Amino acid sequence: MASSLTDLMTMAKPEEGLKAKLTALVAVKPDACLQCARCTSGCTAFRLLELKPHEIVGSARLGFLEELVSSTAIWDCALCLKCAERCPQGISAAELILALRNEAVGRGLEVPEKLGAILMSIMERGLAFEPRKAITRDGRAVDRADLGLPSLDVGLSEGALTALMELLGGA
Amino acid sequence: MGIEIPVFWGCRAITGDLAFELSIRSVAEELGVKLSDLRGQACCGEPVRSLSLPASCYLALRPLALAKEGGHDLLFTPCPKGFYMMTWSLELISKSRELREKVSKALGAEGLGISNLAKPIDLMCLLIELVGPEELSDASGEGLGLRAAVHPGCYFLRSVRGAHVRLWELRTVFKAIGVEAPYYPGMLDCCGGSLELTRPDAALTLAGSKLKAALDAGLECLIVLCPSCFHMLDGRQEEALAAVGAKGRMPVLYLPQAIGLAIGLSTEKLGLQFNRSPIEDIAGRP
Repeated sequence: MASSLTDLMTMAKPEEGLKAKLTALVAVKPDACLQCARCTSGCTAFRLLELKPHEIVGSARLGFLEELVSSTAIWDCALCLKCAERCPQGISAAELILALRNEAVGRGLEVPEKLGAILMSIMERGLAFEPRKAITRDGRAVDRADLGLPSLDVGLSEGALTALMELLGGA
Repeated sequence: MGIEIPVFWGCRAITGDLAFELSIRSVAEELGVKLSDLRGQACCGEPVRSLSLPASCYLALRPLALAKEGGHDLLFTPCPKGFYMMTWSLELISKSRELREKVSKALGAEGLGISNLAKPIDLMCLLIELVGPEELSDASGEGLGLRAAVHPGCYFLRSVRGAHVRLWELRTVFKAIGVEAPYYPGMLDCCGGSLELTRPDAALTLAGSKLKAALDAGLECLIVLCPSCFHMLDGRQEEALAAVGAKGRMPVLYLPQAIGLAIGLSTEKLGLQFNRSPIEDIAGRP
């Protein structure tokens, strides 16, 4: 039924294959969406950035996903999970948005710079950030050893790093 | 009591959030819980979710496999983001055979198995199920006598355990340590932490709104559980309040710091020397 639809703004046709791919890991499929917009009415990013998760889920339900993959709106989501909490059908718009982000990354589209930096840091040291000394309220820089904290065994082994890179694919 | 458990700290603690680690170590020791540091600690996969869901699941489940390989059935994960990632990833692999196979293959690179995973537990589980609210209450004596704004944080509140259970857990712990934490408008809102990577200006506005809500409610301090929330609400407090044009400052404590004060631990042991917000009045409690 969906295949007979046409988006009159873009003349796009539904992409059932892409829909199946992007919703593979989504616990409750967008087909269950009632378009009640409870997700949007409680959305953290709607308040500031006018993100409308019910529109994203609605587009996904109809199979119109191409435009969403390249949309900057998918990077506005705060991942606060309120949408999933509020949805009477149990749909998580945040999970769908994560799948859209994954697709955008896989296609080599532009992603926020800081995410790229975090990935580099994980590859380099296994951690999302670079270790730094902590600064006390009176301005002294101290590290773990100064406080008698044990040193930690941190990082990804060569095998773990290879496995991670394989899973990341083109990311 | 003699509880021994490995701990997975998470990136913020390992890379310099010593207030989080110090307060948890001190409180655990005082309550008779012996922590051992998991070997091979790394990212929990949370920031990688936007890049690759299978990669993030692998990173989230790897510590559970490492803990089990080390002979442990439980892994203490005090960071709510890390705990969320582990429980969410467990749910995902239970529903997708393809994902389970991908993660299984990745774990196999280190000789780990997806069928051999420890169970993740968080701070609430440790305090309520392993230590017990009565023991915590006994250790707290008269308690803090504090009226606080609690910021549960999205990853704590909206985990698989459900928000209603999470709020009950918080109330149970607060009651044990003599903290009254009434509802205030905005209590369940996001601090903006996850937007810091993608929309930094909006992230600061959200943090500022949260702080302003707590100030407007006339409560004595803000208590948080998550290192990412603490970074936004304590570390970046001045910027956040300026972003929403609010005046005043709000003392911010980690929950383990509040517990530590209630059970009589020193401010140094709780890492209060690292809090940026004005905690002087609170640090003198009880």
